[in-house]
Amino acid sequence: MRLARFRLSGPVLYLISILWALVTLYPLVFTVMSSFKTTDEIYSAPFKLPSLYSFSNYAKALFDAGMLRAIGNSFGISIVSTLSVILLGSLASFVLARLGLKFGNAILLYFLLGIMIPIHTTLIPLMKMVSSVNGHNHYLTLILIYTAFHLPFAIFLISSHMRGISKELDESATLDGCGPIRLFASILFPLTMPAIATAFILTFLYVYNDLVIAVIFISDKSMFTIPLTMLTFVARSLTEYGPIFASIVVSIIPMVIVFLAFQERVVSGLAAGAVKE
Amino acid sequence: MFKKIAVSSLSVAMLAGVLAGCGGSGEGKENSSSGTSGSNEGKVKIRILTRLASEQPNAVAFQDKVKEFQELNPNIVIEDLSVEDGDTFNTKFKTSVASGNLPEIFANYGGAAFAEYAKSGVAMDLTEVLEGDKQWSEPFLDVFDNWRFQDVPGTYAVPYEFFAIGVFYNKDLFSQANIQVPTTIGEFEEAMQKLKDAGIVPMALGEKDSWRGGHLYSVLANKLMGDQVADDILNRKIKYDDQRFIDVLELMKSWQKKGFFGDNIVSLDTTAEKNMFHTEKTAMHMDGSWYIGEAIKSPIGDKIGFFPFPYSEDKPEYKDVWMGGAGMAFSISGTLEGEKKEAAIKFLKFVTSEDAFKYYQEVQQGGVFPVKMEVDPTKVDPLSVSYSEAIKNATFRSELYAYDPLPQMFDTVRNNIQGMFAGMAPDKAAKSMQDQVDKLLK
Repeated sequence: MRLARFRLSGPVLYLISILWALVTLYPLVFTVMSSFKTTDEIYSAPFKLPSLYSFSNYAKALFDAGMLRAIGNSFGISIVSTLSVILLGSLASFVLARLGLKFGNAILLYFLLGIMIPIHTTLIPLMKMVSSVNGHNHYLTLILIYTAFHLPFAIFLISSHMRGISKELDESATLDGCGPIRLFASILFPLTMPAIATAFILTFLYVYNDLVIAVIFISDKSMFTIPLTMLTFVARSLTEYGPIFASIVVSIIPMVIVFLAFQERVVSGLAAGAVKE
Repeated sequence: MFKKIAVSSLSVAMLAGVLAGCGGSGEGKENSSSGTSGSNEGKVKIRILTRLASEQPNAVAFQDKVKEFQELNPNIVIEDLSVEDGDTFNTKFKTSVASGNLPEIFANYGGAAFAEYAKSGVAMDLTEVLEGDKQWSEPFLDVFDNWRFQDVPGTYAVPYEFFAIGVFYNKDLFSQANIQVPTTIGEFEEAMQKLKDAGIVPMALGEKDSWRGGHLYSVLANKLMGDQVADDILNRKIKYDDQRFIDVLELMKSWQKKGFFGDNIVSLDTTAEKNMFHTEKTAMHMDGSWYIGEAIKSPIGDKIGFFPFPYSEDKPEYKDVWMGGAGMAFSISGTLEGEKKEAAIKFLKFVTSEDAFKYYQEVQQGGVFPVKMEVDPTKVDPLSVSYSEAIKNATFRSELYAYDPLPQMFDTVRNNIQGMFAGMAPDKAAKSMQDQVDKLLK
């Protein structure tokens, strides 16, 4: 058991951290660098610094292809879907984890089954349902679908975390005259924050990046999401990587904001609720 | 223990219930939806699914025409579902077909893979439409092969694009290596050797994209075996491990061994290949006529020339057999009736009229199209002019294995060619193609 006692000393730890930082940051640096280059330059000199810092790729992405609007669309869709997942998910978790319903476990299991359904297998039935209500080109269509698909995982995360919170808390709160709504809103919701933040980020990331649902249900250019807009740079015989990299750089910004806002809670949230004490 | 079993069986039952409900309601509504969605306040809605959605000139020109049609026909609403990326297009197309919600007009590439759609009525037979309007259908070149099938009568699409595969070359590098434009395969090999000796990659091939090798294979087979070979594949009169096919593969392999295609070709993709051409690292680039626009806009635009793929000295009779034909074509959904059908036909005629093609050529400053039309050398770039000149007497055959009644062979042949370039022996690759046929026919 000597190995266990081995500790990384200062310089070695720093060296490894620096290496790790390089590995993680490199794709980002490469993206930013490439966003200034022409497609030909990306291919002929991928690792060199750009020969000319031109913002033409950015201009093309933001104004010609409408990336600005797309970022707004993606952000809006993601935020609304994520918030509804969180709202519904936490309420459902509260009922399932805290109220001790007779069939609570069965219903929870039923929700969890949803995690196992791959989204691609549902495309055809979804398409049928959406066209029967003329739901193409509606933000609401996307939001409902995303919400439905991410609810199970959010319930899984949040309810398992809620179970970990001591039941006596509920009892003492109730003794002090706290009703169920207040119990949820002022006591359990804040206590479950790590799990909620995790669910928030995971859902947000997924919705923000999703292509397939948007491709199938959106055809109106003014409603294009970020991945859809990027597709306009992919022509059959030619892919314009310059504007794509520029789009990526611009579209990362909202994600960075969301991540920074929730980051601290996510890291603890991922492990929290995994083990029952 | 008992509780657990009870719970899980309960949830299985619930899941089954939901799935059954889903399937049932979908089937029932399918018919009603296609009937009602058409009447949008007295307007007819036509949805189009093409692969013209980028910012490239060809897509922009098409979008212009769509807008023009929209202005001329305020009663028809055009909803454009187009997406250019291949995989995404396929997802969209297949989902629409499977859910019975196919756009009124959709793009496709025909061939054996499309026969099923013709048979099952997904696509409409356009014979009457073509016959009924000679003024519109007359100028089309005879490139409808891909949409005519043996076991179903009719023509199922109208070509929108036309392509022919030839060789683009860098005039500067050619004069630097002191070579003339080759006309026969023998001269072609000599030229490649000279370029190689001059330290230039003769003709880079981005075989990471397996269609590059597939096209070369088809072109060579046309020049060495003639136009008959496509029919032979269609009727299974020839096997993929026929000695003549092996010869074609061996020729390709020998060029690779001599370094004519450059190094590590299996890890080079098409964009990288074109980049080598644009940065003058390779002297030739085999490609279709769709490349003309990009060639002109490239940094070496004024240095690029074009010549037809060289023919075999032993088989001069196959000199004019080209790999080419219609590229993308438009079909009309087979389920349309009444005013919707009329509107779709009207739109189809509008975007594939001779005037429309002239407009596309103008916007793209060149390009070749599936119609006979006068090319004005003052308006059109020299590459398009020499293209139009070269193909005057040509017979066109599409990618050979697209004629195979087994759609799977399309990928099989391409993948085996890629395998050959990665190290497999030519006769092994040929045998592996034929094995797949035998396996599928069993």
